[in-house]
Amino acid sequence: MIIDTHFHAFPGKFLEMLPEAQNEVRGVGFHAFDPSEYLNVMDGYGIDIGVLSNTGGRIERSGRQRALELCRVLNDAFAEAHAKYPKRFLAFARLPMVDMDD
Amino acid sequence: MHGVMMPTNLAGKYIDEPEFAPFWDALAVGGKPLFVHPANAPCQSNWDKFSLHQKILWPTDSTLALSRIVYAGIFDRYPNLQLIASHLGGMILLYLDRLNWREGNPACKEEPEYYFKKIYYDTAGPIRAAFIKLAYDTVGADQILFGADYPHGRGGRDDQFYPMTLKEMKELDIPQAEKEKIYSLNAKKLFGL
Repeated sequence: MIIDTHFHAFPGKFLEMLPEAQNEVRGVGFHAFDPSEYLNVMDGYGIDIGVLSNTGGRIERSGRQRALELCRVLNDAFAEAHAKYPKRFLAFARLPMVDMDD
Repeated sequence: MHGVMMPTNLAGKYIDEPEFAPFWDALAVGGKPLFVHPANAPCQSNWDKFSLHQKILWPTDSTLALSRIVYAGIFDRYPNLQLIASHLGGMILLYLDRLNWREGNPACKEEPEYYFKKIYYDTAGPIRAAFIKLAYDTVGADQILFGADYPHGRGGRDDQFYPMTLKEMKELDIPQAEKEKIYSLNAKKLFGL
């Protein structure tokens, strides 16, 4: 059994909020997260579980409302993937860590 | 959700700063793992040329963020903290003897190495079998997690890191039972599966 704990995805709604992500140079995986596409890749390499995470979005550089909304969109999409495929996807949550000193 | 992910710095601030105390309190209450993942850093402009930020600043920022967590005594305050480092922790395991130096008045009670050995290190990189072996010899199989950084492949493929990481894991010369810990057993424990 293989569990991949360093495993990213970019939910479509999240990408829509991040026009700058379209110009990223980091590889070719920057299209909307499709769980069934991911499962095909995982099955191809014998990966049983992927622990979803995403460190993008400049959440900490956003205002309070936007930070909250970005986290919500991301966490909801990951929670949905886990709910649909509980044995294949787990997830790390992002938190809107802005205005911590207020 | 099965854990929390934090960038190595939050718009230039590092999470050992006092203002983030409520976060550490909440994390301890939740009892879930914290995955610290690289992010762009305040010093980035000098690293952008040749895209060196993505190649080597990110593992360096992991080295910095994790070291600050250790030295700030976060593990003394939260001894049950389950901390996951990206990319085998950057330079940490290569420089443990140097990291044990006491200059700069670390707040942690024990020798820094003691805490660095409590961290979980993932194999995303891509990194070579020899580096995973160094981690194995230093922190043991119990502290290493399989990670491959999908879908950040190169060469026009987003799955390229899987064959690379799986090949290095195959070449890694350790007992199979130890390898199983890295592949899944450690993660199962961490996520309560």
